[in-house]
Amino acid sequence: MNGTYPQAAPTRCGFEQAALDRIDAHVRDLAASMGAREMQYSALIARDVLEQAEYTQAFPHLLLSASRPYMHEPDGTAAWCLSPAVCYHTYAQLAHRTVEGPMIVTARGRCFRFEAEFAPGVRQIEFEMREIVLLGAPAWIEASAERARLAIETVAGNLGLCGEWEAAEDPFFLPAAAGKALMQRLLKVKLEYQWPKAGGLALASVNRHGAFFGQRFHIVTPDGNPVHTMCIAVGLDRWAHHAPGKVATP
Amino acid sequence: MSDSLAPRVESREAFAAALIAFIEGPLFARHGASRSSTTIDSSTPLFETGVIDSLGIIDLLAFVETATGRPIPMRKVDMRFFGTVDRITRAFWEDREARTS
Repeated sequence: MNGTYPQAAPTRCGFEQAALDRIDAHVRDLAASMGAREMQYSALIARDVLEQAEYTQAFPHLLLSASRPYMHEPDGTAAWCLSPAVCYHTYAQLAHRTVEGPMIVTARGRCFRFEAEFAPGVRQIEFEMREIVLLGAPAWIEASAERARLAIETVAGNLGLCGEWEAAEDPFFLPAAAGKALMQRLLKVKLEYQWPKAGGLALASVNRHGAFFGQRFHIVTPDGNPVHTMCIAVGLDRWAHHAPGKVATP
Repeated sequence: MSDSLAPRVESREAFAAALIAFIEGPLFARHGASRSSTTIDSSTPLFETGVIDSLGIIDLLAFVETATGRPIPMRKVDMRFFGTVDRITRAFWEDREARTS
């Protein structure tokens, strides 16, 4: 190999992987301090789950499927996709359940999104993400959002990643979704922790979903109302790429 | 959106009145399916109450841009500037007046 072959994610040697693991340990500790339950999810996710989450509708341009070579699926689509985010597994796992009280789940997972270009630590087709998913009543979610923001800022700052929080929106596929994107920005449902030294690259995000996933996956609170959700996503590759110097063991 | 929906206005009061008329009229008519109330005033919360939704916001921005003759920068797509008719008027009409005077 001459080192210039196409890559979806950076090739890491032992100490580089260890640095990424240590970054994850810092975020995992933060999740543990919030009372999160650790989960392990697979890299593949059923297309049905993504359809239920309306991902296939909102972001078809980013979705990668796990198709079988030389086999034609009956409707032209594969039953399995490469997971574009970790939190969809959590909603599928809790579907049709009643969440008795505030619940926090955390998981580290490999995620896949189709990107036209590969730039290590900036834009990767395959990347690792640690997510902290919160499910509960609206008031608890709102209060948790501010605490989570401060906690992420502290962890990142300790690693030398002093960024800024900015309102942001998801990269919706259809131009007709421009209104959704504007509403996201206006209501600050998506806040990104951006790294000014890399042109505002998002290192983490806090995403409040309201009752959307509760409704889509029939997850309810004891009073029968759809649970509200929020996820905190940390792009581990980006942190590892941009964290200056050695990353200490937490 | 048609420019004719955003009339030329000459004062702060006229801008606020035209904006309320636009929201209660053309905007409700186009996107009003989920609306429970059809009247608003300058302090009615536009988003928390669902007066403006993800379909209506594009028309709302287009109205303000046309009426003021200025594009709205993304940094100003913020509840501090868009929460009510009064806030929109302050942020965009008064700002325009300050820049042109």
